[in-house]
Amino acid sequence: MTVMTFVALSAPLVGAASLFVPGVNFLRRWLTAVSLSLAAIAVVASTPHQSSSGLWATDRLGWLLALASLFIGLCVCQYAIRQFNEEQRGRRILAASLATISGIVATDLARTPAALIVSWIFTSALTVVLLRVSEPGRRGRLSDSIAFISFAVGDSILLIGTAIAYFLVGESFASMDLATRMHGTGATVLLAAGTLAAVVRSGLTFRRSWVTDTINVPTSTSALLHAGVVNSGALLLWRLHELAGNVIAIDVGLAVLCVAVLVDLAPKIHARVDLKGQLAASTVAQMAFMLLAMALGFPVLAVTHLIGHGIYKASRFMSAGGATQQRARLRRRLPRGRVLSVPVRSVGVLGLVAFAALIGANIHPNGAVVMGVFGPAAAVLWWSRTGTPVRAAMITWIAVLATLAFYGCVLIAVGGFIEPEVIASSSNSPWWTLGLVILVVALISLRRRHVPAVTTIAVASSATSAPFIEDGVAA
Amino acid sequence: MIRSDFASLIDVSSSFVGALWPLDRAVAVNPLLDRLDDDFPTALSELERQLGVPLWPSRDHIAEAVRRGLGSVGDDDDGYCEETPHARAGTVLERSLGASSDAARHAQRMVGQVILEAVSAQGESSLDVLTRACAVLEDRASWVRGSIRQRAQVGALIRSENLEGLVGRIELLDDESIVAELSAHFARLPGWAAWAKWSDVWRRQPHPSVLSRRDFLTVSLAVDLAILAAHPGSNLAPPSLVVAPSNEAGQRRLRHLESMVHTPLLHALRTEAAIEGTPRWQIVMCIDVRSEPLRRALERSDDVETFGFAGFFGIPALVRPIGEREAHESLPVLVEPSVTVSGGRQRSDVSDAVVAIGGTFAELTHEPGAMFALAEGAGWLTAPWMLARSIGMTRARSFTGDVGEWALEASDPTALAEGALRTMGMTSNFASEVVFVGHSSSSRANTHYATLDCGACAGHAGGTNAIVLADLLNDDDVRQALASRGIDIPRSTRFLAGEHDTTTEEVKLFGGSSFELHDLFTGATNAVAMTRTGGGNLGRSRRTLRRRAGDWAEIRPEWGLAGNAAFVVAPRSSCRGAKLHGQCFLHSYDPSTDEDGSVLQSILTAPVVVAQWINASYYFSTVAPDVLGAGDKTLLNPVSDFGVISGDDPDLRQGLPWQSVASGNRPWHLPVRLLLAVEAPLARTGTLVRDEPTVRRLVEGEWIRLVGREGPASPWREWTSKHGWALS
Repeated sequence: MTVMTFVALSAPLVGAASLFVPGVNFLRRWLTAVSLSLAAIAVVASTPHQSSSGLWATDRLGWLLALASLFIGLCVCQYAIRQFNEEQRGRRILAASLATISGIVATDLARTPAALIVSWIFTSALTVVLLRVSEPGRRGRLSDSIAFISFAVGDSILLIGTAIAYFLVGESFASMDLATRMHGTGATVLLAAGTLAAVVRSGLTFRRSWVTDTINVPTSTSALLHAGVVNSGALLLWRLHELAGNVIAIDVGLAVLCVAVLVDLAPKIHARVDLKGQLAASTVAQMAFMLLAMALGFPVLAVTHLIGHGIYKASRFMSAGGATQQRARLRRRLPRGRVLSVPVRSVGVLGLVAFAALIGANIHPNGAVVMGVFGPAAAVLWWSRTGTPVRAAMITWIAVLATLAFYGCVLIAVGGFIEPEVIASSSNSPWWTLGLVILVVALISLRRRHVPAVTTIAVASSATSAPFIEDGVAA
Repeated sequence: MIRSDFASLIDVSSSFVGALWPLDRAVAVNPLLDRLDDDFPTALSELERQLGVPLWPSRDHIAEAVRRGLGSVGDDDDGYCEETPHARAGTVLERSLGASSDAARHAQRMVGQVILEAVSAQGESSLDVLTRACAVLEDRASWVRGSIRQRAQVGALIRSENLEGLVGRIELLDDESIVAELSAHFARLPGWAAWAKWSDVWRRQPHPSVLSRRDFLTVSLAVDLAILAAHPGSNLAPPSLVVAPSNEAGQRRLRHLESMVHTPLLHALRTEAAIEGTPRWQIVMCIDVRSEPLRRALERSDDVETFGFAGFFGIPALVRPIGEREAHESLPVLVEPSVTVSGGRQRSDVSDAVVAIGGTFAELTHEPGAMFALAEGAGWLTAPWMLARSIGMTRARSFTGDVGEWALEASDPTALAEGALRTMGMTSNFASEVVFVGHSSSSRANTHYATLDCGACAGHAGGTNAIVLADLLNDDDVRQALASRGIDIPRSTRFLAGEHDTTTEEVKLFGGSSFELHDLFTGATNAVAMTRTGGGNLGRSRRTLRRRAGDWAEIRPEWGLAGNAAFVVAPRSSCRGAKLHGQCFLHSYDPSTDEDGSVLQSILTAPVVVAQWINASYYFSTVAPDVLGAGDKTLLNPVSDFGVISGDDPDLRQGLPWQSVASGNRPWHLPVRLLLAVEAPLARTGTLVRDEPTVRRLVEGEWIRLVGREGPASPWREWTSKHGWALS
């Protein structure tokens, strides 16, 4: 571990501890900002490199995710400071938040199985602590109990899998770099256990999920958990795939599970009438989509989704209080303008799809996959919004186009940056796999379950894409 | 034998339920507004029994008053024990299976969840609530807990039986028992009960998410009966009909707290010499407690005379802004609108585009076709914006009424103008510039934003009413008509309008105004801004107030009406310059211009009632924050655009959030009844107490305390029902 990595991991913890020093409470805004900024500077200063010795080190993926985690953490903590300005619980919540951010960053930067598992479990424990101190009332206790049970089950499975792998591989297992490829039964067991742990962390359960229960804690805590903790599952899968390769059965099983969750949950999101409940339920759906992307071999899609979703969710939670005003204004407004004709709407749709295809054709191979999902999504959104009288249709069209363009730029940057570490290139998956993913989403969007159809699609796409995924070292 | 019709029984059983207005037009309400025929201690004790929570001030409130130097704890050792009232009188299921049983908790959640989903989605459907409720129970995608069988049983009961039939299954034999049972159902989910009360009794315009009390009770009873059917051995325990005992200790505590809070206010009401001659400016502001500091600052200039008047300025308007599909009321909710005001400012294309784009991206959460992809794209795009907001780089956004041209439709505009001027006591001696200043607020990410706006304008900004009255009085035809009625307005007098933003302490003047007037308001608002932020640097004070108004993390942009304690009806000279610390509603009243007492009567029967509602709302939000208040604001979870729940607890929250009445763990608002201080001939006031039903109920029923004095040099006397006026 380098000095910078040590600073990145420890600065938030020092910040958390300093909040309890007598007489410095009035400085907590600066203490928090400085500790997280210091951590971010340390990460920036660490040169991402492929292999390194030490438990924690920065590779490209870890570097990017750690910066994103610290960015989200900084925004959420500054929000929390002002929200709990005069309240005694503010100090406890802030300290627990900083510690949790430290755990998330440690997971991002872990480079050995031991570091990864320890960071993972450390983050789980801190999440439960954060839930407990955020809302000590009856509902909060229920939330942290559900989280505790979920993490206890998931992390126990992970520990057992790790122990079995350690037993089979030997002492070198704990300290081997994640870029080293394991083979054999140990790899399979580890991957299976890690997949289950990722599923639990992502809240992919059919009944009560710890993720949906996070709406019983203050807004800042919900924002941090939805933006920083819940999406670590994709990272865990990425790291374990690095280490253990791909196992067809596990990927197929994960894909089927994700599709089943999406099918089950999609209509429920729409049935949820409270804003935070919608946000929480959609997080679970988004996590299912992210893990589905990993299972089908679209890792860049998963990573960009992880970061983009985190920022989106954090900002939506933090602005939840303004939803009443916003919705009241929207409801009172008389729609002006006119309904666009079908040909005009169709031209708009074609324009968006063509633009997405143009971007996808000219950027990173994984970007083509992403644009293949974005383009139709943008088109569907445009079509549904222009079905009612709209005055500023062109401006809305441009805004959607700008989002696509901006996201294209993001893909160029992110995809190109982490390309050397992509362990399962989407170019190895058949092109029609992407179409199947889109079809799954479309069927769900129509709010028809079609369980047999979508399950078949998921199984087929996973099974047929798996042989094309190289069971080899990252490019 | 059931004797009365069910509608009457529902009315009686919901008499302990307040009313909950939609959040976009929220007004402060007395939860016991239908129990004024009882005296306050009796009504409060009964409400305690219904809800199972203490409703008197606690030891913490006394300690806070002592900490502020208002008095001492008191010598009465046995006065401050924290008496715990009885547990909530339960519904038939709670009585039969136990109020703390899993089945009881499950029933409460189930009822709340069914109603939440059925009512909130109503706007998208033309079906009635009960049909929607059945659909929710059948929909496997709904979030209602309960087995499929149980949900089917509830749905079957709702479809097959009406409310009378469901009550009949409980075998209640008389009206008293039925009322007790129905009351228990309302008390189990007080938020939805209050929403149903508003829908049935107070709603005057269409709303997409209404719920009747009958439908509420039908769902509640159906759930109870379905769950009870699954417990075959359970006996249907009859409702308890005990009378709530009087809480003597609580009453003593309240009186002690009131003596600590009210006495300094009365002592502060000293008399200054009245302004000689005609002032240069006369400024009429709302009676709101937040106007008092600004009025005091304005009156540092001897050229200024201020008046307090209800913020709707005598214009009971239904306002139709350009470009909006709904009209909104801008008057006290106790009054029906009798005039229409239309106009405002045309929306720009840019404004439309911003709203359209914002709405599009805000709905991505559950937009089926887009949420899996565009949400993350929007996330990357919003990163800089999120960072800016998180570190406080925001600007205040005001939701005041649109500036622009407003047209008044009234059958007799002159009568409106005359009524407003006479009630203000402004019938002669007009200044060269008379300014009507309504008020509004600015906040971002605040679910209870409307509670900071003008309560006299039904939770909206008061600028529109001010503009309309000013335009009316500037009209030559109206002036001519007023002259014929004895109100002679000089040609040199000009009426202006403005709006006071109580969050940022800024005043916006509409239309052309003199530089001196502008400077006057600037100086006054600067002084108030510095006082609010503890003095120091003006620039820093201004930045602090604007930051609070525009900060999405700020849970308390301003204190609102926290601290309200008294309503003063008197000439301004009786309290000009008095430091009342924003605790008093101030209504101008000149007894010499009110020979028949009609003006005093109109003040005591309308603005005082509104103020009593506000006072009661703050009182109950302080003493029972988890039942009659909205609780912890950080947990609030918006439902559509009309209400909030707390986390995933399905009951609507009423009242004010905890952070609006407390600072950290310390109480800020001290729960006392409203003190009504009237400077008028005691005989006149006494006559109104005896003869005017509204006033009698409030005073004799001890809902408010009444003190009066003949004139500025007289001592204050308190009205008691036994002895009339006694020295206080």
